[in-house]
Amino acid sequence: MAQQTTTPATATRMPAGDARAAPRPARRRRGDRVAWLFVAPLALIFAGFYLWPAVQTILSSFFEWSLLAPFDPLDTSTWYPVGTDNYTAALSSDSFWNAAFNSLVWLIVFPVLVTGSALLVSVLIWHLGRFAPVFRTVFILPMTISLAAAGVIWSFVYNSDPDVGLLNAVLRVLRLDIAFDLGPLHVRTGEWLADIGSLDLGFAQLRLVNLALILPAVWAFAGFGVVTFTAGLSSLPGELVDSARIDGCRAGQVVRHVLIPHLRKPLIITYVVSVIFALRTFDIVYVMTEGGPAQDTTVLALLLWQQAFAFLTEPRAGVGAAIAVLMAVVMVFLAYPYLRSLMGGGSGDEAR
Amino acid sequence: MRRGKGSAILLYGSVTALCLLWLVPVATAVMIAAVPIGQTRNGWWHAGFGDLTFDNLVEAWREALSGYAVNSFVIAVGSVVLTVIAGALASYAFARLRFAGKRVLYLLLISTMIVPVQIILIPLLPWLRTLGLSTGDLQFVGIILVHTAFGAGWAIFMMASFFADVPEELLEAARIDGARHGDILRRIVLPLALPGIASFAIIDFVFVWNDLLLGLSLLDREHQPLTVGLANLQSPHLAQENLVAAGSIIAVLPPLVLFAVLNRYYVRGLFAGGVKG
Amino acid sequence: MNIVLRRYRVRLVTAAVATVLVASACGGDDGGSGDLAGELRVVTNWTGSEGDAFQKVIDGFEKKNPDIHVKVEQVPFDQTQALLTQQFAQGAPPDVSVALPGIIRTLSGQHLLLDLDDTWDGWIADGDYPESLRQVAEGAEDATEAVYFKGNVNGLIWYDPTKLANWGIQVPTTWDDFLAAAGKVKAAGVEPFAVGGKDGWPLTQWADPVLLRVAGPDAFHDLADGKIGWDDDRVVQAFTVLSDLMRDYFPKNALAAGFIDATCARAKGTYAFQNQGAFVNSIAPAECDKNIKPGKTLAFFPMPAYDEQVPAAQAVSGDLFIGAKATKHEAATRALLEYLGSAEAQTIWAKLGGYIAPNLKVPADVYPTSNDQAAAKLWPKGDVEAGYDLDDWIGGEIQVTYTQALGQLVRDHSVDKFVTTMNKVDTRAAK
Repeated sequence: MAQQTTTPATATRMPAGDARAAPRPARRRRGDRVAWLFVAPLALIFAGFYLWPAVQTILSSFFEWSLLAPFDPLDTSTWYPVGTDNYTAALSSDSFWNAAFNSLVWLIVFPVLVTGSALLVSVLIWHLGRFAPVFRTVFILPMTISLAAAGVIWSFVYNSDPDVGLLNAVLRVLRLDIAFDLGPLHVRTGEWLADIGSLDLGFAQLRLVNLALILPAVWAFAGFGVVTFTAGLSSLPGELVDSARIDGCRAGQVVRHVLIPHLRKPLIITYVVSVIFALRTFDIVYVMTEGGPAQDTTVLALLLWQQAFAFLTEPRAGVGAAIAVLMAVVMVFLAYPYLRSLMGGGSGDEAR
Repeated sequence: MRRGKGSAILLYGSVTALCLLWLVPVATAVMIAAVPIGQTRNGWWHAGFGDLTFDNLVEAWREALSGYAVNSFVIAVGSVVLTVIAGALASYAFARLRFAGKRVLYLLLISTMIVPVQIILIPLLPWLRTLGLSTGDLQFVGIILVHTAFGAGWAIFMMASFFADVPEELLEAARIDGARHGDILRRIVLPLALPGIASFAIIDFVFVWNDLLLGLSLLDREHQPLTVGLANLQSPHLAQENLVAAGSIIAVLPPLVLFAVLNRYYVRGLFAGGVKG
Repeated sequence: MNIVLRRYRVRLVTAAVATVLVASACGGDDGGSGDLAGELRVVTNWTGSEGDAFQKVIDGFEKKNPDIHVKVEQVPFDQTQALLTQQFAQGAPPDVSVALPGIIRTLSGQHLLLDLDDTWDGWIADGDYPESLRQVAEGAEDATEAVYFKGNVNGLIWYDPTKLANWGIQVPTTWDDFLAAAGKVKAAGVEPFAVGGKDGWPLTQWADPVLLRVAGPDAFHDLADGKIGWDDDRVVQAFTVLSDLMRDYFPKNALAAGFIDATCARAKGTYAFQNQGAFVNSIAPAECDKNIKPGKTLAFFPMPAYDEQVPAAQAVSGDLFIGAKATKHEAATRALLEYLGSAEAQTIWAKLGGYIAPNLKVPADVYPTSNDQAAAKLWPKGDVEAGYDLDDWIGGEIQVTYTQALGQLVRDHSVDKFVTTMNKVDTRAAK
């Protein structure tokens, strides 16, 4: 195995350890011991506070329990096995499918908006040359803001009172009070966090208020895409673009034929990381609407939290655990290719 | 690259407009935080310089958030320090050594970047109670360990790659001089990888500082972080947009300052985190 | 399902035994739990002017018990349930906390609360409380495990008397007059009702008085206790009346504005009426406009009877306090709970307004405004039947779903869908 000469932009596989230190069999066990001494503190914390709780979640999803009468895998007196009842309870409830649908909206819309807006912004800024970093900072800045704070901040923009909320104030100045029905699409402005219309999809109704929640998340997260794309663009040879221009390509064609192919990897990364992020969504919904009105904006992460922490009159923590397991399965399934690439293309040549 | 003057103006104009649009939400919060509530209710955009006041910030800090802010600092600093120390040790092994179980452990660690945090959330509370980490200030220890475990994947992912960038020749030379692993890590790898470690530390700080879910679910009212305090302040029963806005400014300030001062490291960290893979 | 439930109960007992063991093992520092000393943590929901009022009540207690220090922590109302769950699960609950009947019964079922039967026996014997209020404070197994601290009467229609006169409307005393008044202001271009449905709970404030007036107190109590389903004819009729009211008189933004926004918009004159609890009397001047004069520009009339055949009943709600069995200062905790239920403590807040003392020994003349006095007069004193807030009584997932389903009802006016949703989540009657 060759020595790694990685730069941040090109490293594609897990750090492999250097080949020249490859141990002869006799020294191997001692080498293992030294390495594990280094790994041990982190591994122990990880095992105790991630792996074991994750295992508990999976186990406890087959038991009935609540936080006040918790399931303990090591204490049989707390075991009230219910088979797969928690899963059937979750999968047969309207609340679950409503939340799953809203999460699906997040999974589809959020990554598209993040990737699209970040790509647009990065390419525009890239053309600016000397002043690019200043402008770029503006878009990266919201990344440091917590989603809880982002939700609070956007609530001011969305405030339905046109004397408080900027968005409605602007619409009032423009004398715009949009309300129209276009086939299955119903749109009305004004009550941004309650009801801005819906899109009838036949099998379900997409409440547009979810988009009003996705927007602040895009605002907060687009900076990640900007950084990623900028990294990709910085490795793009300027001559390539120039020669394309000299060949008479218009701006649109340059983007399509030169930039996009070159940015394939950053595109995938931004998209996949956004997908991962979208399913975790809790903070913004919790802060802005708490899942309301009715259950219009409840997503899976919020439903799970309510099952375990808020719905106390019935022992529902097992159902919450079941939802967590389902979410994890979906995510691993969706992001498996990404996981493989993080692992170094799944190459099995690592030492063991 | 030479372009027409017209298109240059168009380009700068559109980017500037986008930037301003991007800043609108923050500007809104800043303004609402800076004027009295009466002004906010009648359109904060009508406010003049005479209306500006620090009262909201002072009141939000004194009446509501100072305790939460201290908690956030304890949790964030504790988590970052522990994650960086444990993470740096482990990263050295991952970057420079071979050992049994490496690949499995790496896979498990990296998967935390994909699997939603919800997979550990529900049993954590009883588990921390079993460990005796659910009461009093020990709750800080509990949540710091959870944050460390949850950040372990990112720690290894980022720091190990920075460690791997240290030229092998340097290590080889040290080895020939008879240096042991601890010395190599301390004298050669750490100093060279310091910018990378700083990048990770900042990102981890921002991440922990901004956590709402774990703080909300695992800690009592006396130990919850600023994000929870902000959510509580927004409690729907009071007309206090001024305080809520001031609270949101207080909550975003520390990571923002860190970002302003250490922008280079932060972006480099994001860059590495994003582009690798 | 029955087997599961039975197992659950068995487990509750096990958990309870464990809790008691833990509690007894950790008991007593600061001179033991028998002394009237130590620092108590109290969780409440009150902020702003209400928070100040409660602090005055606490000051009174600390003056009487100089060795006890009380630390008040405020949590948002809608997060109380989650926070209490979490803190009891942590094993370090607050010594005293505000709680509603739903969560009281849940915690009581796990044997986590102090038994206050002796205190209540004394109060009933002395005439501090009527027997009916004791039922609200009862835990899962017939022990009384909470004290009633802050009363409230609901189904009060708030309005501005000066404006009502301008519209040429008399204070309605019958249901028809009530609807006619709403119609009249609507015709005049004013929205009839400020709702505040964004916060959820204001919608339930509508359901309780309508249920009591249309379905009657018997059906109300049976529904609360899970003895009848939501498809009971009387219940369906009540929600049909409510749904029609929503359809005809609710504003477009009924779900968009929160309670405070609605209250202040009503005070501004955007809306004519607001159906809410007695606490509006202190909140409107404190949060909206200092110039609001209770009695002059702010008054209420009780929601009129729907059907003279249905026996009268008063919709009430209120805040109770519980004591944690795991407290390290049991004597001090009990002293505080007893104090909070006493006429002495409640008089302190009653004098400040926006409050109804559940303790019958608080004199009627301590209330500061005519509105406070009128509302206090409505408080059930054993003479009229009380309907305690339905969803606060039930709690848990049913409460959350109920609030959400009412929001849906505001939107689609589909009583069928509402009933189906509720029957699906509330399966108590089916069992």
